Amino acid sequence: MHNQSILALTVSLAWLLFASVAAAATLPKGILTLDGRPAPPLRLENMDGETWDLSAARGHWVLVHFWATWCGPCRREMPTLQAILPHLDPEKMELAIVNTAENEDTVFSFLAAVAPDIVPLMDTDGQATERWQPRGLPASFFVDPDGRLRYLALGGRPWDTPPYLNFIQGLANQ
Amino acid sequence: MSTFNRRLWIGAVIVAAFGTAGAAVGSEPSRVDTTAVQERGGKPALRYEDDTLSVRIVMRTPDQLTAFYLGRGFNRAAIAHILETCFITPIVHNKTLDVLWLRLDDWRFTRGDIPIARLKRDYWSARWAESGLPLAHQATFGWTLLPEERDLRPDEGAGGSVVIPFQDRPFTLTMRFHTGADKQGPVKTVVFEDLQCTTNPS
Repeated sequence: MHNQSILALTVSLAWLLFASVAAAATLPKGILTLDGRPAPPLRLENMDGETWDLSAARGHWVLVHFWATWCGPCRREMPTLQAILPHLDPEKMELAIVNTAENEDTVFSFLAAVAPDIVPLMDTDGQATERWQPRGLPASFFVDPDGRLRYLALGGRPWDTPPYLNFIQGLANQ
Repeated sequence: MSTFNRRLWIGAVIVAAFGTAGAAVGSEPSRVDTTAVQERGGKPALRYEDDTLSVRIVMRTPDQLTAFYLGRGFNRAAIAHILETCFITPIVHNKTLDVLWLRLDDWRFTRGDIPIARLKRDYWSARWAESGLPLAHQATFGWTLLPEERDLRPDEGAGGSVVIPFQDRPFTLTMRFHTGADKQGPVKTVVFEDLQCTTNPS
């Protein structure tokens, strides 16, 4: 009986190890798995003056993205976020694009040229970004339908390329 | 060659070495390599690269700093504080398959045997209080600095400024990077010698 328990435990651990390795292997480059802690609060007005609240986004995934126009990698990445918009069902995967501490004129003049369909949330004093503690700008967090942090993208990523688009669509269709 | 151009060709020597995790902090690294590449056409930049990491350093001129921060709405008093100092902007990229620790307290600025104290975030908080800089601009400034500590993951990079008081003579930056998730891997040391705070071209 004792040996059977050890065998069962060993098989379980091996399966868990295999499953975690397999899951990691399917992640695109630069995507880290997070520990599932609750996402910090995020309640901001967008550039049209409408309030958006992460707590109201339960039931679907949210990609929370922090950026600024002065950040070179952010500028390169933003067109790829614009490019994936038509491929996403906002009821399954919502984009929350948070500008960090810039004014509307600066943000509008940049987005109008490269990502006209994105209406960013305005973290006008930068304090919401501080609460999320990104590793730098840009930063993208994936929040699951229960409001927990599940993945983090390191730096800017080419979201419109197959590995990343497939990853996002895979999450949305879970 | 103008004085400015001579200053660009600062003849930097970049020295890289692997120590061991057990080596005492501050012990002299064994020097194994000397290479320097000056970027052509414009900003003075220095590079080091091997199989484990790459580092590029850009020295910001007063005009560049003024243009950047003034363009983002910083007030003149804040910019005056910035121009009293020397901005060094390293861009570090982890090329290993392990964690590379960027920890600014493991870096040393020296002029000869004299240590140069880095101007940390609390220094700037005091300057912003004096100059009445709005929170948004303080946040922007904070994001333009290198993080104090970051566990750079494989293929992850980080760039930003490190600030010291203005120096009118060449100085050395010794960067030490611990490796491994528990910081117990080999220690990588990269030394940039003969760095100079840049002035505007005359």
